[in-house]
Amino acid sequence: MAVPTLFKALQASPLGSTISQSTWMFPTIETVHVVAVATVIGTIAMVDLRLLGVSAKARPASALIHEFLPWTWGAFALALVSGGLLFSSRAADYMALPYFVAKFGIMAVAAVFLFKVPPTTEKHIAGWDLGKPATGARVAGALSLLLWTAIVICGRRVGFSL
Amino acid sequence: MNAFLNAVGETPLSQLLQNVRWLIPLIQSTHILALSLVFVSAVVVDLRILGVAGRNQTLPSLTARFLPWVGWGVLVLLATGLLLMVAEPRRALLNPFFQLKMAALVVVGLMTWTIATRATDRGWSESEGRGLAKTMAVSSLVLWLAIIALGRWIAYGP
Repeated sequence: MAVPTLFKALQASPLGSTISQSTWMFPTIETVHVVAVATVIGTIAMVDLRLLGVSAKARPASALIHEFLPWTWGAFALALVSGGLLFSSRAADYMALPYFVAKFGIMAVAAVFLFKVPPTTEKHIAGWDLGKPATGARVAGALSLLLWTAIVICGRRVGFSL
Repeated sequence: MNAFLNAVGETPLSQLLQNVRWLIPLIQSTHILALSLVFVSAVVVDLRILGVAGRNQTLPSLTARFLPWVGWGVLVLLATGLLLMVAEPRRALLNPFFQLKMAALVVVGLMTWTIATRATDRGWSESEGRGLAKTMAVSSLVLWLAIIALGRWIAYGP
């Protein structure tokens, strides 16, 4: 099955058509998606702002990462599931939107950051855990914030495109 | 009311917001980013009061760290929200979801203010004030979730 056919099939599937035909399901799943996204971005922003040396400088960065990251991952999983359900309602239409494709390209990079930045930070954290973050950590924090901002902008544009 | 809503809709600012296509999504994106910081910061404080998270830190240290994010974040939310309202006054002000959202915001604002001022009292959230503190923490969690939900449902309002 060609890929566009696959998305058309998903859109026409019982799951996709149930969501697109219901009046309340799409907004309800969207609400869950917004709460999940807000949790992902709020928690990762707290870590990024610490890596940047902007906030919580009196708090060891390693402790902060351990406190916030499990929430980021849990919320990220919820955002993927709720987002997947929204996608299924109009899969082929979404795939035709440049902002939608861009959102996932950027998210792939952001996910690599989520996997790589915390362990890398902890490996080198001994020198600055309570002080001014190392240059690498600051660059990573800044890039992560930019990536998530771009993801939100793309996501919101998707909502205006269909 | 009708005349007022029409007058707002015809102001140059409203016209600008309606006619430049990328402005509204960009303002909404800013709204979502500020909301993320406000929501997570409020939840951190609420979960600490409930004893669910952050038990190795004192409540006053957490309110001092996180409630400024709520305060400044809400200012950004009010500013961006006001722009969205000016852009589409009818969609917002006549919408029951919007009206409920504003009511919930006032209540959660008063509760957050109480938590902020009482957190430094010895005993509050620890002994005699514990029941009240926990009730406020649960209400705050529920209200923030309701505010986010109502905000999304404005788009689907009657």
